[in-house]
Amino acid sequence: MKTFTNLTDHEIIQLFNDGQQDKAFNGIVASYGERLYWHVRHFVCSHEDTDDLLQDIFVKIWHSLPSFRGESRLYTWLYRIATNETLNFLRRQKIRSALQFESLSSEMDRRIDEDPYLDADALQRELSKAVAKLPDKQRTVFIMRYFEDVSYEDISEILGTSVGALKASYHFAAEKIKAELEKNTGGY
Amino acid sequence: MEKDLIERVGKPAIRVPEGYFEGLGERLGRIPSEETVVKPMAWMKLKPYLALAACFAIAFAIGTAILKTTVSKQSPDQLYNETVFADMVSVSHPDLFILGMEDEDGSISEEDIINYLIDTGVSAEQIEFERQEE
Repeated sequence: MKTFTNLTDHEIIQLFNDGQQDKAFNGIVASYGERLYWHVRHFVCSHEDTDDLLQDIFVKIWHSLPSFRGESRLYTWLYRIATNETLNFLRRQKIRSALQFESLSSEMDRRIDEDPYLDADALQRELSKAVAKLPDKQRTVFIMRYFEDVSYEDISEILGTSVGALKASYHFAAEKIKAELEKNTGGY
Repeated sequence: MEKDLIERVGKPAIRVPEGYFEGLGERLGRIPSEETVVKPMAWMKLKPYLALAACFAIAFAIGTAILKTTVSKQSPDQLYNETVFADMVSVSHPDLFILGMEDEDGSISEEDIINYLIDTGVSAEQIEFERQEE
């Protein structure tokens, strides 16, 4: 008998269509829980925030599941929800920081420096900080391509942007990161 | 460019607390039992239309109330007389009719009517003819 951990997207959708919503959802949790954790973690740079956000994302997935029509792949649909929720979370944090007369950028720097679960040398920490400073679109493309090895075709489906535009975004993101690294490390 | 970054910096290693992923599945798996999906009932789909109908009803009620307080109460006969007299008013010289038409007691005399008809260009023969007909 198959366990939830090795259900394919097709089997998960089949379970849902058969009215077994709970099992379909458990299949999603088993297949995508960890992957979406890493996806979110690269954005928010904190285990605690990632954990909270992941809970919210899966609540959203559960409520949105009845509206999944199979027009896109389950994988891209889930990543789209997770990415949107994460970017919204960061926007809320940015507003909260602004109201406290602080910048989210310095808050992210602090998180990266103090993250007990981050095994990184100084240069890698600078890289993470530079990524956190990127605009939403460039950061999303860079994280998915560089850290998660997602193909441009899949990113295109998730973000609804052409592959050409994504490659351009990645290029600009990499340029900015390089400039930031050179500025903060005096050339690496 | 991409290779430069990967080769020189490398990806930072990120960890999670021990046993985190073992408990994650169980915790997220409880969501369906904790979150009930509220399916919209039929009347909830009609809610926007009912709200719109209520707005129209309120606007109609307010309009009616305003008209009731601002428009004077007149009988249909009074309204008819007003209309008839308005039609008789000379467009070029309304004062000729309005100022001279009423007696002291407010009624209109036959003489007033004859004067008005003369002013509005009706011939004396025609007036006389109409009087004889009556």
